[in-house]
Amino acid sequence: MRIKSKGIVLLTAALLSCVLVGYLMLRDIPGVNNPPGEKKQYSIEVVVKSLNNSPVFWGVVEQGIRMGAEEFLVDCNVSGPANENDIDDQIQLVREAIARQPDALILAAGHYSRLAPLCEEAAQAGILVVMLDSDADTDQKICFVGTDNYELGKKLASLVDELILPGERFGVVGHVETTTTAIERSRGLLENVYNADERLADLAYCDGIMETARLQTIEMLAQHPDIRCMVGLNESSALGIANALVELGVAGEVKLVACDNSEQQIHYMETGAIQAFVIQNPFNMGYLSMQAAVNALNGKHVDPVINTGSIIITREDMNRPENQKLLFPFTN
Amino acid sequence: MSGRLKKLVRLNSIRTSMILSFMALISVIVLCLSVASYSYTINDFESLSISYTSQLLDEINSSIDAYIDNMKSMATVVVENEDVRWLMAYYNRYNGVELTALQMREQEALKQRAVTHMNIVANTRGDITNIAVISKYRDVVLSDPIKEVNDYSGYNVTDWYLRPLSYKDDIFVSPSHVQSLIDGEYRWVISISKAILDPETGEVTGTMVIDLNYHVIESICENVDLDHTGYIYLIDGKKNLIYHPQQPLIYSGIKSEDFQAALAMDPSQPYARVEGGEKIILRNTSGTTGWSAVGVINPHNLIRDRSAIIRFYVMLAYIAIIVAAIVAVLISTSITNPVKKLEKTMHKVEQGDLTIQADTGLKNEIGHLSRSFNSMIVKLRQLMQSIVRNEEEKRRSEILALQAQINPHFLYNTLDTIIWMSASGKNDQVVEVTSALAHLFQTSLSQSDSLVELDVEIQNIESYLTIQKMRYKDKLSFRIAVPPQVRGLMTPKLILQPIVENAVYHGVKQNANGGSIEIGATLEDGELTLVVQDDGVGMTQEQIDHIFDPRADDSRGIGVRNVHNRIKLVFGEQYGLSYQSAQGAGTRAAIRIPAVERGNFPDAN
Repeated sequence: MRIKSKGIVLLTAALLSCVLVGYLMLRDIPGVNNPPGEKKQYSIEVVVKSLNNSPVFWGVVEQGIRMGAEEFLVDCNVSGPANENDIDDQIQLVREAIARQPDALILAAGHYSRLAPLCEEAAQAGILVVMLDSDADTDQKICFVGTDNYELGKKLASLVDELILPGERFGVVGHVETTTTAIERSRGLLENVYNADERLADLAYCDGIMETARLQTIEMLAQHPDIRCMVGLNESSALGIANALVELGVAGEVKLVACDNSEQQIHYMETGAIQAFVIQNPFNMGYLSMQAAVNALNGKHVDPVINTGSIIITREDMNRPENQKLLFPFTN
Repeated sequence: MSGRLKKLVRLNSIRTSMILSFMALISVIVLCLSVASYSYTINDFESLSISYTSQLLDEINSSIDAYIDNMKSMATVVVENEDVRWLMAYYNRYNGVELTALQMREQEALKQRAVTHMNIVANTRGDITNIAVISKYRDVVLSDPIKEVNDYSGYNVTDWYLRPLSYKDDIFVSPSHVQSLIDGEYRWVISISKAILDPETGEVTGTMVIDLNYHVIESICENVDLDHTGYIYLIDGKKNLIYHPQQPLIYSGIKSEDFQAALAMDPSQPYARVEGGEKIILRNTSGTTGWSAVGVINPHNLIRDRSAIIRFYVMLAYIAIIVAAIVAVLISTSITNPVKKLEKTMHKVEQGDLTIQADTGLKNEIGHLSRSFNSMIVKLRQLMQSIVRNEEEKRRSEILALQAQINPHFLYNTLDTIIWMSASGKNDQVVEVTSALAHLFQTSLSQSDSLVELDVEIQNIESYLTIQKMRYKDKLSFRIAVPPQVRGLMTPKLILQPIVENAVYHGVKQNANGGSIEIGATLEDGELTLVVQDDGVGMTQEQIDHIFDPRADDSRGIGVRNVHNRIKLVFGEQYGLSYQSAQGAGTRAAIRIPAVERGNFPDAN
């Protein structure tokens, strides 16, 4: 009898301890009774060409980056100089970003050659480098995510040829001479437009500053009154040109082909100062660069060049719903 | 430790096989149950998720309906405002007409009051981005007096503007679109528009539009938590997206959503599987707005939960198996322990301990077994005791019988000698022989002790040899050389006589020249050796080898064997008689017995 009761006590103790152990082990299993933690997978530093300044473009890029970061559980930090031509500032920001030892660096290079050593520095520190929008002269990168700017230039060329006669001349204002976007776009434009050598009246660079572009346009038109069409290679240069054309009262008379789609540009299109623009997809650029970085970090294959494409929007089709989705960033 | 472990896992023990089979049984049961309940749980999970999502969709729709209803009443508040109505009527009536200064002032005052009213309404809620009234002739008045009208806006071709002009009683809710009515502003909004009627004629004079940003709808939709297993989006009946958690991604073409599948869903079915079962969609269409709230559940995203469930069941199985192991150990121990105890007891019995009793204290089969075993031990013990008693008795009677054996031939021969001597008148010799015979018989027949002092035995043999010497005259001589210090040691009765008799008859008598017999005794290492040496004919090796064999025809064997057996019976197997002889060289017989002082031998007499 004594043995039996001892056995029961032992059995009960064993069962209780098992239940306790089981409870303790199960308590920590995620998804059973505790909510899943939003654990950040990677930390990624993003340095863009310009922040807090007029081009809405980078704001939309950042939106795409943030959306991607949220989806892929990335802890991301976005920085950038105030102006696109503040190359020294950008170099400093990239240095700081590398010093924070992120898993990856997403960089829109303000200068094709000057940012290249930093990319190599980052790669040596074990940081994956994804180039965004503007490439740098380095092979130490996972991929380039952005518009095929040569193709964009080609589209600009087709618009110029559509808007003016083959004998009429045009002028170009670009943003930063040293950045690949300007280099490729002007190459795409000048190599594809009809008879570029004779028709190109002038080519100026405004360093991404709208006011400079405005002044350059006024001067250009004064020197070459036969210019029938202006081409702005980015948002700020296009707006500068548009301002100049409105100021001179030749809006609509001198055609304007622009790049990108800030609200101001859209307004100019509505008023007829801008006839057409080739828009990029900054949201996709941001999102896809983040996706590419995460895929690379996860060891997945990433295409060396991810083209986010460009689309021609003209005044006539700007109100079509599918174009509205592209023209107006969906900000809530 | 390892010994204990070995003991614990000994494969052929009942205990191990019980534990193993118990655990195997429990494992199989737990496994089956786990698999069954796992699949049940997964199905349950899915249906739970579906019913949960459909509930959410219901809630979302009713919230949005409530919201839109609220907005529609706001729209009513605006369109029924007298100032607004009169302002529109003014615009209509005096369109294309030059206004007088008074009319201008009147119109301006009306406009002021209408804007104030609209502004108040617009400011009651943060989600109203703008309220505008537009006359049939495109006079636009905004609720915010600071903002300017975008003269280049293409609103005049939009649904929200045109439809109220034709359907004066309806309130229209637009899908998501970009509102370009305000200069420098391009916002994605949802517009609610309604016709403004002339206060006198009731004719349509224009359109009122309230633009809503997404904050409220978003917060309604974001509040629902599908916990990574899916999401909810809103579309109108024309596949226009109203809300989607990844709206920018869908607008920019990176991601896509199959709106067609959602709208094509059979409303009688609670849910549908699309993309080859990869996704489960549910739809709930609002009667108020015509919008559909669509829930998308990704069963694969239940995987995280799935693995958690699997872990849960594995853990459960693990616990069950541990419990089973403990129970098995306890049960098997309670069974095998008494058996082991019984086994130990049996082992002791095997080694000869018959006093032991097995005590399990159990009332089960093992208890029966041990009780049977106990009674068996008792019976065995009784049997053993009776065997010992019988053996003792038998030995005793055997000894007595052997002691009693005096060769009748000797008696006959001696008597014959006496007769012959008395016939020859040799009275002295007759006396001598007769007294020796009497002495011989005195010692032989005395029953008092089976052990006697060696001295008595020597005297006895002296008497015997005296008688024999009378018979064989000079043919026989003998010498007794026993040191006095050994004469006090004890020896069985009549052990020398048969040996000496043997020496006389088979050694000396057979020799034509007669012979001598010498009797000696030595004490060495607590052993007494009595030696009878003769110089007679001796024996062959074969005779020596078979000297103790019981053969009826051999008269000499009986006495010798008798002595040998008696010594063994009294002192043990290691003692006894041994012969050394060679043909023609005489025989030496040695009796080896332990040196026993009087009173020191615990022989049972």
